[in-house]
Amino acid sequence: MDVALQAVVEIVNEHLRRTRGTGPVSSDTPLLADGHLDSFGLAELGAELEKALGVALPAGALLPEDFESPRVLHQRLVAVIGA
Amino acid sequence: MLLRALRRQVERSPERVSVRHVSLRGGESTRTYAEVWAAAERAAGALGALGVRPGDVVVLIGTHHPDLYGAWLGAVWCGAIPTILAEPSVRIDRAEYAARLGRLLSAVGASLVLLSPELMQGWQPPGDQRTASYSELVQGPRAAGEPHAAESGDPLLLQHSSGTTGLQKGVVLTHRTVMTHAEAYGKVLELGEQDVVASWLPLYHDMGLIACFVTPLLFGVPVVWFSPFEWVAEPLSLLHAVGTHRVSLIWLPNFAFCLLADRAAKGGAALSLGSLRAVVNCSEPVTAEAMDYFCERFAPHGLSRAALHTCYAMAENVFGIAASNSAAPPRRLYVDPAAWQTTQTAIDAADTDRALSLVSSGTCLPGASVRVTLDDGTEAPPRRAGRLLIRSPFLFEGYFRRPDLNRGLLVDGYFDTGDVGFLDEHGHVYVTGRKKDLIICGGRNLHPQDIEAAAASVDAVYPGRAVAFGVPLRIGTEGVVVLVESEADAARWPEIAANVRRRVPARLDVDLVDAKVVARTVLKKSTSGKLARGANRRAYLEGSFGRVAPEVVTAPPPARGGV
Repeated sequence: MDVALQAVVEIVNEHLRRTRGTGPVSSDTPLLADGHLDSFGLAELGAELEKALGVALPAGALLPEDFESPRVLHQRLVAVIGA
Repeated sequence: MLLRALRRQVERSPERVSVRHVSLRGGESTRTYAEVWAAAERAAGALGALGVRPGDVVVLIGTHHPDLYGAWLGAVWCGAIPTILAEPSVRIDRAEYAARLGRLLSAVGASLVLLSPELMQGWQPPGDQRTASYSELVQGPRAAGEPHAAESGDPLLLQHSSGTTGLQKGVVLTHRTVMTHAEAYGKVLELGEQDVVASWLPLYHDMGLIACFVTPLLFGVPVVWFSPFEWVAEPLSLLHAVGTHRVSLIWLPNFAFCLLADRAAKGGAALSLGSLRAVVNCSEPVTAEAMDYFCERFAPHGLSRAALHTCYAMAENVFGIAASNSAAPPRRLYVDPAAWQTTQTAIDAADTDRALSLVSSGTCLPGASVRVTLDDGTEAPPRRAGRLLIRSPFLFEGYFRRPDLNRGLLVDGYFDTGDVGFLDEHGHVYVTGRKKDLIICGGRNLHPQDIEAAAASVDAVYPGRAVAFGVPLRIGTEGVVVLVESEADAARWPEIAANVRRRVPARLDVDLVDAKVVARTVLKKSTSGKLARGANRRAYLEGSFGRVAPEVVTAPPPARGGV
């Protein structure tokens, strides 16, 4: 299954708009280091990605380091879903 | 002393699993009681060879590793004093972390730093003390002789409470205090060999260290361990383990009740929670909303409402002061909000729909007592809020190497917690406030001064003009807001705000829910000319500084109980 990087960026931005009110971010914005995302938001964003992309990710598919930027997140999703 | 008790447990059930270590990507590994004992014996041998002597402080960094048990117990075996410190998180600035750690290592006179094998790769803690990995210790070539014969009054461990300035204040706990606490707390919870604990809590926090590590070890209770770093991304993994391993006890800070319920609301496989007999809400203010939300969401998965419990705890008292149990479940009061605000007295409301809902943290542990005093030093009547003072057989004797803090620490045997609360007519403790300006986020105690100093170090922030305060979040904890003044052109404000958002987590590992820049002299001051946290907080929540972050609750904060 194909996941577009742009789709991931949009899901992230929708999450930030609804929770923190920051953004919009680009594909290379550091989400954690720049304070857009905190630990309370990781699980929620993970669930939103699953829902929006219509996939069920296995346990441990997304760990905090995978949320470094939308691009890193996209690469990880492609690796998990493609596998 | 601790090892004598552990040895009895090892002899009784050597093959029982003591720790089941779960890594979401790396699978599971277990250690039986016999294996933990053998690992401690080897580690003690290796530590002795490294020159560790009774009374030395041994620092452990890297909490999620199956060999941590052996390394920690090995230090105790040698009569050394282990202290577990927070590891660097993904976003903290490594140089800032190293600088703070370096100060702490010299303050406690650490003779050795033990690291998880992951941290050992490519990182060297500051200072010239020696370093070893947990795994290399527990695989040491030679087992130690008999454990050091510790006296009951000898220090067993040092606990550096989590938070921003916590690092400078180590709580010393002796063998006697830790064992006495375990006995009292275990009795209240009716801990026994039929129990299984699941935990994701960091071990540098009292709830992780005492409730989930030391106490279960002494009672022969297996613990299923998750990494705190992995857990935040996969919170339901903890509840999936309940069905798999027949877990009976879990400790969580208030926000985790909301986080788990929120995550379950977004879907997921069915859970089997019937084995849970206690889910304990502790370490930050308890909200009735979080408890109800959790119950409602998980009752269809077999969770019993009777399993929801509360506890009032702090590192200075080893852990628990008061706790609820099946014989005395948490009480809930519906109080008149107007009477509460004007007289700080909890009077039953006529109309429960508009009442404040306060949850008790249970009754005092055997031998412990809580006093409530008013400003004039007199005893508060039942239901009247005042300062909470505590006394117990397991109260600490002081902070490590801090004579300045230890002078006059106890008055008539009572320790002034700084918390605010009351006792009801049934002896239940309600915690309704905390030390002035303290922010409690996800169970961590954050001091606004440290956050303000980090924010004020950002370029173009006017010197000394940063204010930080806590605001209630929908997730059931507090978030940190920082406001700074600047003389720079308003066009630069977004960039300055972004730098504040970056600097504070990098320095303190503290997230900001909002950071705003305002013009000079806009922030509210007290009569003495200092920035007033409370007044700026109210103005922020009213929208005076622009849009409030969406995840902030702007309605009057929900009622609180328990810390």
